[in-house]
Amino acid sequence: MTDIVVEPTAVPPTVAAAKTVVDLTSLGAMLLSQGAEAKTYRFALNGLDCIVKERFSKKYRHQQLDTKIQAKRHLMEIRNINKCRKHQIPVPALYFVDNISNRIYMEMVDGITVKSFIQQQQQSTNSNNSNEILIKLCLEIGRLIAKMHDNGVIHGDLTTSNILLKNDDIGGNSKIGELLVFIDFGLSYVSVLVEDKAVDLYVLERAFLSTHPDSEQMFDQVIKGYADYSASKTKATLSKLDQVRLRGRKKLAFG
Amino acid sequence: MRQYEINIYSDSNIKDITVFKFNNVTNTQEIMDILLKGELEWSIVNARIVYDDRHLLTAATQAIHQLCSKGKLSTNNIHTELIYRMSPTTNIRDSIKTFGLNIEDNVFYIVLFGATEERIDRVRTLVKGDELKEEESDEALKKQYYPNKYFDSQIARKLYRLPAAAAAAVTNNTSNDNLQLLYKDILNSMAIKGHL
Repeated sequence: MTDIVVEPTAVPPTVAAAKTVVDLTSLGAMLLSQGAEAKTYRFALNGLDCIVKERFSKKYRHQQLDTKIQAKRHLMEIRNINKCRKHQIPVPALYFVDNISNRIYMEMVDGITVKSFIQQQQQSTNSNNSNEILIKLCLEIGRLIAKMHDNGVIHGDLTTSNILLKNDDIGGNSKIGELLVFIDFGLSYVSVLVEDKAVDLYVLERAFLSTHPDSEQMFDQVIKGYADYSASKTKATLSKLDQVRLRGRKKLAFG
Repeated sequence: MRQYEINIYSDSNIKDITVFKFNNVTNTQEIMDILLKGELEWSIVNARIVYDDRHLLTAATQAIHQLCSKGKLSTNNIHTELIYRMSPTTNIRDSIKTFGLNIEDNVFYIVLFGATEERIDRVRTLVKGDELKEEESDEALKKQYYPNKYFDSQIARKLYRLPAAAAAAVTNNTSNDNLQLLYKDILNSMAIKGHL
């Protein structure tokens, strides 16, 4: 009988890092929100006003799998934010990427989400769909998404809460497009497939219609803005969108 | 001379950096010679591309991060690591050449990690030039982390490979806004280094 030799397992990175990582709140960071995947803090990193997105490990997931998923999303987020920035799609600037604790330090964007902006606008004006500023906003959102798709970036989680509106005078609505900022690229990936782009738009449509009542016309403006970006490049995506609407987000794997 | 604390890593034994800025330096050649012998434990950074002290601090934080995450640095020591982290490229030789001390420079930053009295004295005796001290008492400047008046946006754009077209697209911005935008782009290109 040979002895059963138990191979020493490698120390998982999260454990190794634990001693190095300092809790941000002990350094004066302010917890802004917590989602399913990450916490966001506001923190002054060496005097730079920034937002920290910290991914935490999920205890219910197998540790190796968890580390893998986290590392992948962390990296994709960084890459895609940078890619968007390179192509002049408004995204926050990255200040510092911390691989030890899966933190991303990025530029603080002073503003509100498009979600709360739309709600504000809908409350203040009763005839919400004819609101000029919202139409302009939606056209611009569509145009920017088309630009993003044209450069091969699929956001993966387009909702009105993942688009921010900077807090510079919103009253001057002629340049409202310059105030938009896309955030949360945690589920983003690179693809040039028409299918992926159409699903990305479909996700936004579902999010739009479920968060904002009577917003069909607003989403139509998003589509219009999308088509306006470049008719030849977006035509295929938009016809695919009609197919996706019929079957839902997931592609049928059989039949 | 200004000192800053870097506290986001608990097990790092380097907790603070000291920043000096000199101009009208007359003995660059001499400093260069000693530096190349590897006897100086300083980072000497080209002042043309340093926007303000936060810029250096970010690079220092990244250098410490590298030490804590990998257990070893990309370059030989923490001082060259800081210069390497200032640069957007992964070419160490190029980085140190362009972002470090150049022979014709008479203005530059010196950064020490975990400085002692003795080492601070060494800097002051060796460098023959004017240390910029007068700014330090200014509270307004302190809040802004001492913007560097030798910062040259043209050179910075070139070295960080940021085409001017990006800034030109936003036409109705004032030049100060453009400078802020450039600074963010610079920090961005430092942050994504090694992640692409």
